[in-house]
Amino acid sequence: MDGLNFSLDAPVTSISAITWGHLIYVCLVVIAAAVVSRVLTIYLKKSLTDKIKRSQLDILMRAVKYGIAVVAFLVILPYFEVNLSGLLVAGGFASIVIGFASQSVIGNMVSGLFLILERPVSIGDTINIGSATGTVTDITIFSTIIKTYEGIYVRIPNETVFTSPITNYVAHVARRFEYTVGIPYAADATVAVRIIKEVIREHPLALREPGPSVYVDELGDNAVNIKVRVWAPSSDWWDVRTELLWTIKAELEKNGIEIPFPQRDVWFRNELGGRVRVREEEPPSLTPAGDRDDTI
Amino acid sequence: MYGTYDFSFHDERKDFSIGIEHENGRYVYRRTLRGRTQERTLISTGGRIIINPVEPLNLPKEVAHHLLVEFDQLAIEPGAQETIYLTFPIEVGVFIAAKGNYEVVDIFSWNRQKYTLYGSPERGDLARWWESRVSFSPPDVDPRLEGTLSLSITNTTREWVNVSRLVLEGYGMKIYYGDSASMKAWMRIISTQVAETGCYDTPMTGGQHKSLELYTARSIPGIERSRYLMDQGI
Repeated sequence: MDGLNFSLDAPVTSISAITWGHLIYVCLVVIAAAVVSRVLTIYLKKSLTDKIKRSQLDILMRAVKYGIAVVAFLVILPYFEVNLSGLLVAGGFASIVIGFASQSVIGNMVSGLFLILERPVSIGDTINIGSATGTVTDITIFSTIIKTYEGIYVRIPNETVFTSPITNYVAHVARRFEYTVGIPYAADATVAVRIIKEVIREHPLALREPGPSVYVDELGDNAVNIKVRVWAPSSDWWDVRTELLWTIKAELEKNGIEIPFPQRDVWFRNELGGRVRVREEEPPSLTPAGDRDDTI
Repeated sequence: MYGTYDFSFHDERKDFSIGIEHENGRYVYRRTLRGRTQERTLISTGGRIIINPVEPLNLPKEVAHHLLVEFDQLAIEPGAQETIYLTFPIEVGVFIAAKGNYEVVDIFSWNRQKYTLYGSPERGDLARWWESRVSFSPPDVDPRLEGTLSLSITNTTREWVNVSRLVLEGYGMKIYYGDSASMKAWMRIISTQVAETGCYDTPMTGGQHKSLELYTARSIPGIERSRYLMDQGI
Protein backbone atom coordinates (compact mmCIF):
# COMPACT_ATOMS: atom_id res chain seq x y z
CA MET A 1 0.00 0.00 0.00
CA ASP A 2 1.37 3.41 -1.02
CA GLY A 3 2.06 5.98 1.67
CA LEU A 4 -0.06 9.20 1.85
CA ASN A 5 1.14 11.90 -0.52
CA PHE A 6 0.45 15.46 0.74
CA SER A 7 2.20 17.32 -2.07
CA LEU A 8 0.12 20.18 -3.56
CA ASP A 9 -0.45 18.48 -6.93
CA ALA A 10 -1.21 15.07 -5.45
CA PRO A 11 -4.87 13.99 -5.65
CA VAL A 12 -6.79 13.96 -2.37
CA THR A 13 -8.41 10.61 -3.17
CA SER A 14 -7.60 8.01 -5.77
CA ILE A 15 -10.91 8.48 -7.58
CA SER A 16 -10.99 12.29 -7.79
CA ALA A 17 -8.85 14.78 -9.62
CA ILE A 18 -8.99 17.27 -6.74
CA THR A 19 -5.51 17.91 -5.47
CA TRP A 20 -4.39 19.09 -2.06
CA GLY A 21 -3.49 22.39 -3.72
CA HIS A 22 -7.05 22.78 -5.01
CA LEU A 23 -8.42 21.99 -1.57
CA ILE A 24 -6.22 24.62 0.08
CA TYR A 25 -7.19 27.15 -2.60
CA VAL A 26 -10.89 26.41 -2.06
CA CYS A 27 -10.49 26.78 1.70
CA LEU A 28 -8.69 30.11 1.22
CA VAL A 29 -11.46 31.36 -1.09
CA VAL A 30 -14.14 30.37 1.44
CA ILE A 31 -12.25 32.04 4.30
CA ALA A 32 -11.57 35.14 2.19
CA ALA A 33 -15.24 35.35 1.21
CA ALA A 34 -16.32 35.04 4.84
CA VAL A 35 -13.84 37.73 5.94
CA VAL A 36 -14.77 40.12 3.11
CA SER A 37 -18.47 39.57 3.81
CA ARG A 38 -17.97 40.25 7.53
CA VAL A 39 -15.82 43.34 6.98
CA LEU A 40 -18.21 44.78 4.40
CA THR A 41 -21.31 44.26 6.56
CA ILE A 42 -19.60 45.84 9.56
CA TYR A 43 -18.49 48.76 7.39
CA LEU A 44 -22.01 49.20 6.01
CA LYS A 45 -23.49 49.05 9.51
CA LYS A 46 -21.02 51.64 10.82
CA SER A 47 -21.33 54.07 7.96
CA LEU A 48 -25.04 53.82 7.10
CA THR A 49 -26.84 53.20 10.41
CA ASP A 50 -27.68 56.89 10.89
CA LYS A 51 -28.28 57.54 7.21
CA ILE A 52 -30.82 54.98 6.02
CA LYS A 53 -33.69 53.11 7.60
CA ARG A 54 -32.87 49.96 9.55
CA SER A 55 -35.01 47.86 7.19
CA GLN A 56 -33.15 49.13 4.11
CA LEU A 57 -29.82 48.54 5.81
CA ASP A 58 -30.77 44.95 6.64
CA ILE A 59 -31.74 44.27 3.03
CA LEU A 60 -28.51 45.85 1.78
CA MET A 61 -26.35 43.83 4.17
CA ARG A 62 -28.16 40.63 3.27
CA ALA A 63 -27.70 41.33 -0.46
CA VAL A 64 -23.97 41.91 0.07
CA LYS A 65 -23.62 38.72 2.11
CA TYR A 66 -25.46 36.52 -0.40
CA GLY A 67 -23.73 38.21 -3.36
CA ILE A 68 -20.28 37.40 -1.97
CA ALA A 69 -21.37 33.82 -1.23
CA VAL A 70 -22.57 33.35 -4.81
CA VAL A 71 -19.32 34.79 -6.23
CA ALA A 72 -17.24 32.52 -3.97
CA PHE A 73 -19.33 29.51 -5.00
CA LEU A 74 -18.82 30.28 -8.71
CA VAL A 75 -15.07 30.73 -8.15
CA ILE A 76 -14.56 27.37 -6.43
CA LEU A 77 -16.96 25.38 -8.59
CA PRO A 78 -14.47 24.59 -11.44
CA TYR A 79 -12.04 22.99 -8.95
CA PHE A 80 -14.60 20.30 -8.22
CA GLU A 81 -14.83 19.65 -11.97
CA VAL A 82 -18.51 20.36 -11.96
CA ASN A 83 -20.09 20.65 -15.36
CA LEU A 84 -22.48 23.62 -15.00
CA SER A 85 -24.85 22.40 -17.71
CA GLY A 86 -24.98 19.01 -16.07
CA LEU A 87 -25.52 20.69 -12.73
CA LEU A 88 -28.45 22.61 -14.13
CA VAL A 89 -30.08 19.44 -15.45
CA ALA A 90 -29.40 17.61 -12.19
CA GLY A 91 -30.61 20.65 -10.29
CA GLY A 92 -33.81 20.67 -12.30
CA PHE A 93 -34.56 17.06 -11.44
CA ALA A 94 -33.53 17.57 -7.86
CA SER A 95 -35.77 20.60 -7.49
CA ILE A 96 -38.77 18.63 -8.78
CA VAL A 97 -38.11 15.82 -6.31
CA ILE A 98 -37.46 18.22 -3.45
CA GLY A 99 -40.48 20.26 -4.45
CA PHE A 100 -42.82 17.27 -4.16
CA ALA A 101 -41.18 16.16 -0.95
CA SER A 102 -41.32 19.51 0.73
CA GLN A 103 -44.21 21.45 -0.73
CA SER A 104 -44.76 23.66 2.31
CA VAL A 105 -41.08 24.62 2.50
CA ILE A 106 -41.03 25.53 -1.19
CA GLY A 107 -44.40 27.28 -0.78
CA ASN A 108 -42.99 29.39 2.03
CA MET A 109 -39.88 30.16 0.02
CA VAL A 110 -41.82 31.22 -3.09
CA SER A 111 -44.16 33.29 -0.91
CA GLY A 112 -41.10 34.86 0.70
CA LEU A 113 -39.75 35.82 -2.72
CA PHE A 114 -43.08 37.36 -3.70
CA LEU A 115 -43.24 39.22 -0.38
CA ILE A 116 -39.77 40.64 -0.98
CA LEU A 117 -40.79 41.70 -4.50
CA GLU A 118 -44.25 43.06 -3.61
CA ARG A 119 -43.10 44.51 -0.26
CA PRO A 120 -46.49 44.87 1.47
CA VAL A 121 -44.50 45.03 4.71
CA SER A 122 -40.96 46.11 5.56
CA ILE A 123 -38.77 45.58 8.59
CA GLY A 124 -39.80 48.11 11.24
CA ASP A 125 -43.43 48.38 10.09
CA THR A 126 -46.24 48.00 12.60
CA ILE A 127 -48.63 45.42 11.18
CA ASN A 128 -51.42 43.01 11.95
CA ILE A 129 -51.56 39.52 10.45
CA GLY A 130 -54.24 37.20 11.82
CA SER A 131 -54.07 37.42 15.59
CA ALA A 132 -50.54 38.85 15.69
CA THR A 133 -50.03 42.60 15.96
CA GLY A 134 -46.62 44.16 16.40
CA THR A 135 -43.46 45.33 14.70
CA VAL A 136 -41.80 43.36 11.91
CA THR A 137 -38.27 42.58 13.07
CA ASP A 138 -37.15 40.34 10.19
CA ILE A 139 -38.31 38.95 6.86
CA THR A 140 -36.42 35.82 5.85
CA ILE A 141 -36.90 33.64 2.84
CA PHE A 142 -39.17 31.26 4.81
CA SER A 143 -40.82 33.32 7.51
CA THR A 144 -41.69 36.76 8.83
CA ILE A 145 -40.79 37.57 12.43
CA ILE A 146 -42.95 39.90 14.47
CA LYS A 147 -42.29 41.34 17.91
CA THR A 148 -45.67 41.98 19.52
CA TYR A 149 -46.38 45.01 21.70
CA GLU A 150 -45.79 42.72 24.70
CA GLY A 151 -42.32 41.93 23.36
CA ILE A 152 -43.23 38.37 22.35
CA TYR A 153 -41.50 36.69 19.40
CA VAL A 154 -43.94 35.47 16.74
CA ARG A 155 -42.80 33.57 13.66
CA ILE A 156 -45.28 33.45 10.80
CA PRO A 157 -44.56 31.24 7.75
CA ASN A 158 -44.39 33.36 4.61
CA GLU A 159 -47.13 31.33 2.94
CA THR A 160 -49.49 32.39 5.75
CA VAL A 161 -48.35 36.01 5.45
CA PHE A 162 -48.84 35.94 1.68
CA THR A 163 -52.35 34.51 1.81
CA SER A 164 -53.60 36.46 4.86
CA PRO A 165 -55.07 39.94 4.94
CA ILE A 166 -52.31 42.27 6.15
CA THR A 167 -52.98 45.56 7.92
CA ASN A 168 -49.94 47.82 7.73
CA TYR A 169 -50.43 50.70 10.15
CA VAL A 170 -47.48 52.74 8.90
CA ALA A 171 -47.59 52.16 5.13
CA HIS A 172 -48.84 55.73 4.67
CA VAL A 173 -46.96 58.68 6.11
CA ALA A 174 -49.97 59.96 8.03
CA ARG A 175 -52.97 58.40 9.74
CA ARG A 176 -56.08 59.53 11.57
CA PHE A 177 -57.27 58.75 15.08
CA GLU A 178 -60.37 59.82 16.95
CA TYR A 179 -61.86 60.35 20.41
CA THR A 180 -65.32 60.91 21.73
CA VAL A 181 -65.31 63.63 24.38
CA GLY A 182 -68.45 63.96 26.52
CA ILE A 183 -69.47 67.32 27.98
CA PRO A 184 -72.41 68.11 30.29
CA TYR A 185 -75.73 69.17 28.74
CA ALA A 186 -75.43 72.44 30.63
CA ALA A 187 -72.10 73.29 28.94
CA ASP A 188 -71.80 75.32 25.75
CA ALA A 189 -70.77 72.87 23.03
CA THR A 190 -69.58 75.69 20.76
CA VAL A 191 -67.11 76.80 23.42
CA ALA A 192 -65.97 73.22 24.00
CA VAL A 193 -65.40 72.70 20.25
CA ARG A 194 -63.40 75.93 20.09
CA ILE A 195 -61.23 74.91 23.06
CA ILE A 196 -60.55 71.46 21.59
CA LYS A 197 -59.63 72.96 18.19
CA GLU A 198 -57.27 75.37 19.92
CA VAL A 199 -55.54 72.51 21.79
CA ILE A 200 -55.11 70.59 18.53
CA ARG A 201 -53.76 73.69 16.76
CA GLU A 202 -51.11 74.11 19.47
CA HIS A 203 -49.77 70.57 19.13
CA PRO A 204 -46.88 70.53 16.62
CA LEU A 205 -47.50 67.00 15.36
CA ALA A 206 -51.28 67.24 14.99
CA LEU A 207 -51.17 67.89 11.25
CA ARG A 208 -52.47 71.15 9.83
CA GLU A 209 -53.43 69.38 6.59
CA PRO A 210 -55.50 67.16 6.49
CA GLY A 211 -57.19 69.38 9.05
CA PRO A 212 -58.75 68.12 12.27
CA SER A 213 -62.47 67.62 12.51
CA VAL A 214 -64.31 68.48 15.75
CA TYR A 215 -68.11 68.38 15.92
CA VAL A 216 -71.08 67.47 18.12
CA ASP A 217 -71.74 63.88 17.15
CA GLU A 218 -74.40 62.60 19.49
CA LEU A 219 -76.76 63.62 22.29
CA GLY A 220 -75.88 60.74 24.59
CA ASP A 221 -77.53 59.36 27.73
CA ASN A 222 -75.24 61.22 30.08
CA ALA A 223 -73.39 63.74 27.94
CA VAL A 224 -73.22 65.65 24.70
CA ASN A 225 -70.66 63.67 22.74
CA ILE A 226 -68.13 65.61 20.70
CA LYS A 227 -66.24 63.68 18.05
CA VAL A 228 -62.58 64.68 17.62
CA ARG A 229 -60.68 63.44 14.55
CA VAL A 230 -57.00 64.29 14.15
CA TRP A 231 -54.33 63.38 11.57
CA ALA A 232 -50.78 62.74 12.76
CA PRO A 233 -47.55 61.26 11.36
CA SER A 234 -47.89 57.45 11.33
CA SER A 235 -44.61 57.12 13.19
CA ASP A 236 -45.82 59.25 16.13
CA TRP A 237 -49.60 58.96 16.15
CA TRP A 238 -49.80 57.09 19.44
CA ASP A 239 -47.75 59.72 21.30
CA VAL A 240 -49.86 62.50 19.77
CA ARG A 241 -53.05 60.65 20.69
CA THR A 242 -52.13 60.18 24.35
CA GLU A 243 -50.72 63.70 24.78
CA LEU A 244 -53.71 65.40 23.16
CA LEU A 245 -56.35 63.48 25.09
CA TRP A 246 -55.09 64.59 28.48
CA THR A 247 -54.48 68.16 27.30
CA ILE A 248 -58.05 68.37 25.99
CA LYS A 249 -59.41 67.11 29.33
CA ALA A 250 -57.28 69.56 31.32
CA GLU A 251 -58.10 72.51 29.08
CA LEU A 252 -61.85 71.83 29.21
CA GLU A 253 -61.74 71.62 33.00
CA LYS A 254 -59.72 74.83 33.18
CA ASN A 255 -62.59 76.50 31.31
CA GLY A 256 -65.25 75.09 33.64
CA ILE A 257 -66.36 72.19 31.44
CA GLU A 258 -66.18 68.97 33.44
CA ILE A 259 -66.26 65.57 31.76
CA PRO A 260 -69.60 64.23 33.18
CA PHE A 261 -70.02 60.96 35.06
CA PRO A 262 -72.82 58.60 34.03
CA GLN A 263 -75.98 59.80 35.81
CA ARG A 264 -79.71 59.11 35.79
CA ASP A 265 -82.57 61.31 36.98
CA VAL A 266 -85.35 59.24 38.65
CA TRP A 267 -88.87 60.73 38.75
CA PHE A 268 -91.51 59.23 41.08
CA ARG A 269 -95.14 59.30 40.03
CA ASN A 270 -96.37 60.21 43.53
CA GLU A 271 -94.79 62.61 45.92
CA LEU A 272 -93.04 60.59 48.58
CA GLY A 273 -93.63 61.52 52.18
CA GLY A 274 -90.93 60.84 54.70
CA ARG A 275 -89.45 61.74 58.00
CA VAL A 276 -85.75 62.11 58.49
CA ARG A 277 -84.28 62.46 61.92
CA VAL A 278 -80.62 62.78 62.46
CA ARG A 279 -79.37 60.85 65.44
CA GLU A 280 -77.22 62.40 68.03
CA GLU A 281 -73.52 61.68 67.51
CA GLU A 282 -72.91 58.06 68.36
CA PRO A 283 -70.16 55.75 67.23
CA PRO A 284 -71.56 54.00 64.13
CA SER A 285 -70.07 50.67 65.16
CA LEU A 286 -72.27 50.59 68.30
CA THR A 287 -75.52 51.14 66.37
CA PRO A 288 -76.99 48.01 64.77
CA ALA A 289 -78.20 48.58 61.19
CA GLY A 290 -81.75 47.62 62.17
CA ASP A 291 -81.94 50.38 64.79
CA ARG A 292 -81.57 53.25 62.32
CA ASP A 293 -84.15 56.02 62.62
CA ASP A 294 -83.42 57.43 59.17
CA THR A 295 -86.77 56.60 57.64
CA ILE A 296 -88.28 57.86 54.45
CA MET B 1 -25.41 85.53 18.57
CA TYR B 2 -24.41 83.52 15.48
CA GLY B 3 -20.70 82.86 15.06
CA THR B 4 -17.71 80.87 16.30
CA TYR B 5 -16.55 81.28 19.88
CA ASP B 6 -14.11 79.64 22.27
CA PHE B 7 -15.15 77.75 25.41
CA SER B 8 -15.33 80.94 27.48
CA PHE B 9 -18.45 81.94 25.52
CA HIS B 10 -21.47 83.15 27.45
CA ASP B 11 -24.49 85.15 26.31
CA GLU B 12 -27.47 86.20 28.38
CA ARG B 13 -30.64 87.99 27.32
CA LYS B 14 -34.24 88.19 28.44
CA ASP B 15 -35.59 84.65 29.09
CA PHE B 16 -32.49 83.20 27.42
CA SER B 17 -28.92 82.30 28.30
CA ILE B 18 -26.31 80.16 26.61
CA GLY B 19 -22.71 79.35 27.40
CA ILE B 20 -20.06 76.92 28.51
CA GLU B 21 -18.91 76.76 32.11
CA HIS B 22 -15.86 75.07 33.58
CA GLU B 23 -16.97 72.95 36.55
CA ASN B 24 -14.87 70.40 38.45
CA GLY B 25 -12.38 70.08 35.63
CA ARG B 26 -15.13 69.49 33.04
CA TYR B 27 -16.83 71.78 30.56
CA VAL B 28 -20.59 71.99 30.84
CA TYR B 29 -22.70 73.41 28.01
CA ARG B 30 -25.85 75.02 29.39
CA ARG B 31 -28.69 76.74 27.55
CA THR B 32 -31.86 78.10 29.15
CA LEU B 33 -34.85 79.21 27.10
CA ARG B 34 -38.16 80.26 28.70
CA GLY B 35 -37.25 78.53 31.96
CA ARG B 36 -36.24 75.23 30.38
CA THR B 37 -32.59 74.25 30.62
CA GLN B 38 -30.61 71.97 28.34
CA GLU B 39 -27.31 70.73 29.76
CA ARG B 40 -24.50 68.66 28.29
CA THR B 41 -21.15 67.70 29.83
CA LEU B 42 -18.27 67.93 27.37
CA ILE B 43 -15.25 65.68 27.71
CA SER B 44 -12.82 67.92 25.92
CA THR B 45 -9.53 69.66 26.48
CA GLY B 46 -10.86 72.71 24.67
CA GLY B 47 -12.31 73.65 21.34
CA ARG B 48 -14.76 75.98 19.71
CA ILE B 49 -18.50 76.46 19.90
CA ILE B 50 -20.27 77.26 16.64
CA ILE B 51 -23.78 78.72 16.68
CA ASN B 52 -25.65 79.08 13.43
CA PRO B 53 -29.12 78.60 11.94
CA VAL B 54 -29.80 75.07 10.70
CA GLU B 55 -32.44 73.44 8.52
CA PRO B 56 -35.70 74.05 10.45
CA LEU B 57 -36.73 70.40 10.46
CA ASN B 58 -35.50 69.09 13.81
CA LEU B 59 -37.96 70.18 16.51
CA PRO B 60 -39.73 68.88 18.49
CA LYS B 61 -38.34 65.76 16.80
CA GLU B 62 -37.27 64.84 13.31
CA VAL B 63 -40.43 63.69 11.51
CA ALA B 64 -40.16 65.43 8.14
CA HIS B 65 -37.49 66.24 5.57
CA HIS B 66 -39.36 69.07 3.86
CA LEU B 67 -40.30 72.65 4.58
CA LEU B 68 -43.62 73.96 3.25
CA VAL B 69 -43.94 77.73 3.13
CA GLU B 70 -47.47 78.98 2.57
CA PHE B 71 -48.14 82.51 1.37
CA ASP B 72 -50.85 84.69 -0.19
CA GLN B 73 -51.72 83.44 -3.64
CA LEU B 74 -49.81 85.03 -6.51
CA ALA B 75 -50.94 84.93 -10.14
CA ILE B 76 -47.96 84.66 -12.48
CA GLU B 77 -48.21 85.43 -16.17
CA PRO B 78 -46.95 83.01 -18.86
CA GLY B 79 -43.16 83.08 -19.28
CA ALA B 80 -42.63 85.48 -16.36
CA GLN B 81 -39.62 85.42 -14.06
CA GLU B 82 -39.89 87.24 -10.75
CA THR B 83 -38.08 87.29 -7.43
CA ILE B 84 -40.18 87.52 -4.29
CA TYR B 85 -39.16 87.54 -0.64
CA LEU B 86 -40.64 85.19 1.93
CA THR B 87 -39.59 84.17 5.42
CA PHE B 88 -38.62 80.81 6.90
CA PRO B 89 -38.56 79.60 10.52
CA ILE B 90 -35.35 79.70 12.50
CA GLU B 91 -33.91 76.77 14.37
CA VAL B 92 -30.52 77.39 15.94
CA GLY B 93 -27.90 74.65 15.97
CA VAL B 94 -25.07 74.62 18.51
CA PHE B 95 -22.00 72.67 17.42
CA ILE B 96 -18.88 71.75 19.33
CA ALA B 97 -15.75 71.62 17.19
CA ALA B 98 -12.42 70.16 18.17
CA LYS B 99 -9.59 68.29 16.45
CA GLY B 100 -10.95 68.75 12.95
CA ASN B 101 -14.42 67.42 13.65
CA TYR B 102 -17.69 68.82 14.90
CA GLU B 103 -20.83 67.52 16.54
CA VAL B 104 -24.22 69.08 17.21
CA VAL B 105 -24.93 69.39 20.93
CA ASP B 106 -28.16 71.35 20.92
CA ILE B 107 -30.90 72.65 18.68
CA PHE B 108 -33.41 75.19 19.92
CA SER B 109 -35.95 77.64 18.60
CA TRP B 110 -38.08 80.57 19.68
CA ASN B 111 -40.78 79.44 17.24
CA ARG B 112 -43.68 77.08 17.71
CA GLN B 113 -43.51 74.14 15.33
CA LYS B 114 -46.36 72.85 13.20
CA TYR B 115 -46.26 70.02 10.68
CA THR B 116 -48.48 69.31 7.73
CA LEU B 117 -48.93 66.86 4.91
CA TYR B 118 -48.14 67.92 1.35
CA GLY B 119 -50.31 65.77 -0.91
CA SER B 120 -52.31 62.71 0.05
CA PRO B 121 -51.57 60.32 2.95
CA GLU B 122 -50.50 57.54 0.55
CA ARG B 123 -48.36 59.60 -1.84
CA GLY B 124 -47.60 62.79 0.04
CA ASP B 125 -44.74 63.98 2.19
CA LEU B 126 -44.73 65.29 5.73
CA ALA B 127 -43.43 68.84 5.94
CA ARG B 128 -42.73 71.55 8.50
CA TRP B 129 -45.40 74.18 7.94
CA TRP B 130 -44.66 77.89 7.93
CA GLU B 131 -46.86 80.81 6.99
CA SER B 132 -45.08 83.74 5.38
CA ARG B 133 -45.95 87.17 4.14
CA VAL B 134 -44.91 88.08 0.58
CA SER B 135 -42.60 91.05 -0.10
CA PHE B 136 -40.97 92.35 -3.24
CA SER B 137 -37.91 93.67 -1.39
CA PRO B 138 -36.01 92.07 1.50
CA PRO B 139 -38.36 92.30 4.50
CA ASP B 140 -37.49 93.32 8.05
CA VAL B 141 -37.33 90.14 10.07
CA ASP B 142 -36.94 89.28 13.74
CA PRO B 143 -33.66 87.33 13.49
CA ARG B 144 -34.59 85.11 16.41
CA LEU B 145 -37.81 83.96 14.75
CA GLU B 146 -37.40 84.11 10.99
CA GLY B 147 -34.94 84.31 8.15
CA THR B 148 -35.30 85.85 4.70
CA LEU B 149 -36.09 83.49 1.84
CA SER B 150 -35.46 84.90 -1.60
CA LEU B 151 -37.49 82.94 -4.16
CA SER B 152 -36.93 83.23 -7.89
CA ILE B 153 -40.06 82.00 -9.68
CA THR B 154 -40.04 81.12 -13.36
CA ASN B 155 -43.26 80.28 -15.15
CA THR B 156 -42.22 78.12 -18.08
CA THR B 157 -45.82 77.44 -19.15
CA ARG B 158 -48.02 79.33 -21.59
CA GLU B 159 -50.72 79.83 -18.99
CA TRP B 160 -51.36 82.04 -16.00
CA VAL B 161 -50.43 80.07 -12.89
CA ASN B 162 -51.52 80.59 -9.27
CA VAL B 163 -48.87 79.88 -6.65
CA SER B 164 -49.44 79.89 -2.89
CA ARG B 165 -46.90 77.46 -1.48
CA LEU B 166 -43.33 76.33 -1.78
CA VAL B 167 -41.88 72.99 -0.69
CA LEU B 168 -38.12 72.70 -0.18
CA GLU B 169 -36.12 69.51 0.32
CA GLY B 170 -34.16 69.46 3.59
CA TYR B 171 -31.07 67.95 1.96
CA GLY B 172 -30.84 70.86 -0.46
CA MET B 173 -31.21 73.79 1.95
CA LYS B 174 -28.29 76.21 1.98
CA ILE B 175 -28.59 78.70 4.82
CA TYR B 176 -26.29 81.69 5.20
CA TYR B 177 -26.07 83.98 8.19
CA GLY B 178 -24.82 87.37 9.26
CA ASP B 179 -26.94 89.37 11.66
CA SER B 180 -29.89 87.34 10.41
CA ALA B 181 -30.32 84.17 8.35
CA SER B 182 -31.12 83.94 4.67
CA MET B 183 -31.68 81.38 1.96
CA LYS B 184 -31.95 81.69 -1.82
CA ALA B 185 -34.36 79.33 -3.56
CA TRP B 186 -35.82 78.85 -7.00
CA MET B 187 -39.08 77.51 -8.34
CA ARG B 188 -39.55 76.44 -11.93
CA ILE B 189 -43.23 76.07 -12.77
CA ILE B 190 -43.69 73.21 -15.20
CA SER B 191 -47.49 73.16 -15.38
CA THR B 192 -50.38 74.73 -13.51
CA GLN B 193 -50.10 72.02 -10.83
CA VAL B 194 -46.42 71.02 -10.95
CA ALA B 195 -43.19 72.85 -10.12
CA GLU B 196 -39.61 71.94 -9.32
CA THR B 197 -37.84 73.66 -6.46
CA GLY B 198 -34.32 73.90 -5.11
CA CYS B 199 -31.83 76.15 -3.34
CA TYR B 200 -28.86 78.15 -4.63
CA ASP B 201 -25.63 77.72 -2.72
CA THR B 202 -24.94 81.46 -2.58
CA PRO B 203 -25.54 84.10 0.10
CA MET B 204 -28.31 86.63 -0.36
CA THR B 205 -26.01 89.52 0.54
CA GLY B 206 -22.25 89.91 0.75
CA GLY B 207 -20.44 89.15 4.00
CA GLN B 208 -22.69 86.31 5.07
CA HIS B 209 -21.25 82.98 6.26
CA LYS B 210 -22.49 79.55 5.30
CA SER B 211 -24.15 77.57 8.08
CA LEU B 212 -22.99 74.12 9.08
CA GLU B 213 -25.65 71.79 7.70
CA LEU B 214 -27.22 68.92 9.56
CA TYR B 215 -28.90 67.24 6.63
CA THR B 216 -25.94 67.27 4.27
CA ALA B 217 -23.82 65.65 7.00
CA ARG B 218 -26.42 62.88 7.35
CA SER B 219 -26.85 62.32 3.62
CA ILE B 220 -25.34 59.67 1.40
CA PRO B 221 -23.61 61.38 -1.52
CA GLY B 222 -25.45 60.84 -4.78
CA ILE B 223 -28.56 59.33 -3.21
CA GLU B 224 -30.49 62.18 -1.63
CA ARG B 225 -32.00 64.67 -4.01
CA SER B 226 -31.46 68.32 -3.33
CA ARG B 227 -34.36 69.30 -5.58
CA TYR B 228 -38.03 68.69 -4.91
CA LEU B 229 -40.80 68.04 -7.41
CA MET B 230 -44.03 69.62 -6.24
CA ASP B 231 -46.40 67.37 -8.17
CA GLN B 232 -49.39 67.58 -5.85
CA GLY B 233 -50.32 71.20 -6.29
CA ILE B 234 -48.61 74.56 -6.04
